[in-house]
Amino acid sequence: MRGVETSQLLKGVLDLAVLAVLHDDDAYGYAIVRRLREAGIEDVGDASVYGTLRRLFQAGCLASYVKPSDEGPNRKYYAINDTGRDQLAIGAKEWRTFVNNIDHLLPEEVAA
Amino acid sequence: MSSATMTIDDRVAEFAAAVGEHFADLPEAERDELLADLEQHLKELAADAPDAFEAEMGDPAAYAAELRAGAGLDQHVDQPGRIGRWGIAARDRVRSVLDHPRMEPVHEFVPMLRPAWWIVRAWAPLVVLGMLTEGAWNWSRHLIIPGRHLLGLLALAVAIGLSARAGLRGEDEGRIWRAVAVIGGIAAVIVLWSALFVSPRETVFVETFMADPFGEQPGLLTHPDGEGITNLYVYDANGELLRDVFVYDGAGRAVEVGAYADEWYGIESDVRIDADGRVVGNLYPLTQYVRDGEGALVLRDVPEVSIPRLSGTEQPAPPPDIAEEPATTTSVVEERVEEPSPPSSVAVEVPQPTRPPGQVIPD
Repeated sequence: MRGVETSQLLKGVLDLAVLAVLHDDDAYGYAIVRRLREAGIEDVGDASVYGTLRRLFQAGCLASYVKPSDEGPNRKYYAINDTGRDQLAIGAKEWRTFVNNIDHLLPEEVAA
Repeated sequence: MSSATMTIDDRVAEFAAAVGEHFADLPEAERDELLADLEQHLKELAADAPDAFEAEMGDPAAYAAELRAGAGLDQHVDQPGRIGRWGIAARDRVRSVLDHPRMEPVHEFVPMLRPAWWIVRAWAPLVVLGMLTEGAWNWSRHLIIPGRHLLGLLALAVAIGLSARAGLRGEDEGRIWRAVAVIGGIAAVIVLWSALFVSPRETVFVETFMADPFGEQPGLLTHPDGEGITNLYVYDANGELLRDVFVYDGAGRAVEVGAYADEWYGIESDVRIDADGRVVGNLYPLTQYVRDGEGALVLRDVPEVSIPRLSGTEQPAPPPDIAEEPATTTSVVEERVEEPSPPSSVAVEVPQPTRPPGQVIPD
C-alpha cells in the first residue's frame, strides 16, 4: 500500500505526529519534516507539514517564536502548549484504540 | 552571503508568489499573512537543504493543494456550519452518482435543459408569492398567470433575468447569486410538487382561478349585487318545492353552481352522476351539507321563501290552468328571496336538455 493510500492514512494522523515531534522539543518547520522522515514517515510532504503546523497554531495547540540563526535566515520555532498536550493525549489514546481495533480485524497471517 | 543564496531567495519569493495565486479565495489580510509566513518557511528550507528545496518545490499548484489539505483550508477559509456541511455531503453524494460513466448521455442532454430550468426557477417564486399574497393583494394572481397583465409579464421578465444571471454566475461569484438560484430552485420544487400531488378538488379551484383572474370570486354564479348563488330551489306556482329538476339557460347550457360554491362557501354538495359516470351538475336542488359549530357536516336547511301570488290566478291554482300558461308557470326561485321578484335570468324557458333525465342515477 503505497502512494495515495498511504498518504491518505497519514493525513489523518499527521496532527498527532507533529504534536508528538514537538512534545520532545521545539522545532522549526523543516526540522519537523526531517524528524518525521527520520522516524520512518517518508511520504510526508513539506507542504502538508507546514499546513498542519498552521492549523494547529490557529487552533491554539502551539506557540511560536522566531530565533535568529548563526547562518541563514531567522527561524520560526513552534512549541507545544497545554492545549496541544491535551490534544496529543486524546489523539494518542484514540490512535491506540484504533490500531488495536484494526489489529483484531486483520486476519492473523496478514497481521504479523 | 554569496550570490547563490540570493538567487535562492529570489526563487523562494517567486515560488511563494506562485503558490499564493492558489489562495485567491482567502481574505486579503489572511492571504498576506500566509504568504509572508510561507516565504519564511521556504527560506528556512532552502537554507537547510538546498537539494530538498529543489525536490519539494516542484509544482506550485500541487504544493498549494497539499498545504490546503494540511491546513484544513477547503475551498473557502470560513468553515461551513452544520447545514453547510450537510449540504456539501449531499452535493458530494449526488456528484458521485452523476459522475458514474453510465450517466454520460445524461451529461450531454442536461445542459440543453438549463435555460428551461432557469425559466421554471424564475416563474415558480412568482407563483408562490402570488399564492401567499392571494386576497391580500389584488394583483397577486397576475404573478401566477403572467400573460394577462403587463405587471405579471414585467415581473416574470425580471425574474428570468435574475435567474439566468444566477445560472451564468462564475465559480467564485458572490453568495447573492447562489442564494437567488437556491430560492428559485426551492420555489420550483414546491410548485412542481403541488402541481403533481394536490387533490383534484384543489385542481378544480386552480382552473377556475385561471379562467378569470380578474374576478374576486371567479367562476361563481352571482346575483347582480355580487352575492353568490350556491343552490337553486325550484317551486311550482302552487308553492310546491320541485325536486330533481334540470336547469338550463337560454342557450341550452346546463346551469351549475356546485363545484364553485363548495370552494368558496364551505358548502359540500352530493355529487350526482349520469349513466356514463359523468358528473351531473345542474340537477336541483343540490343536496348540500354545511358545517355546524363543532365542524361536523349537517344537512343544509331548505331556505324559507315566500312564493308570490300570481295575478289573475285562483289560489290554489288548479293544474289545468298551469298547462295553459306555460310562460309563467315555471319560475326559478333562488334561496333567500325576500320580496317577490320576476323570474331571474336563470329561469328556464325552453329547456333543451343535453342529458336525458332518465339516465340520471343518484349518487
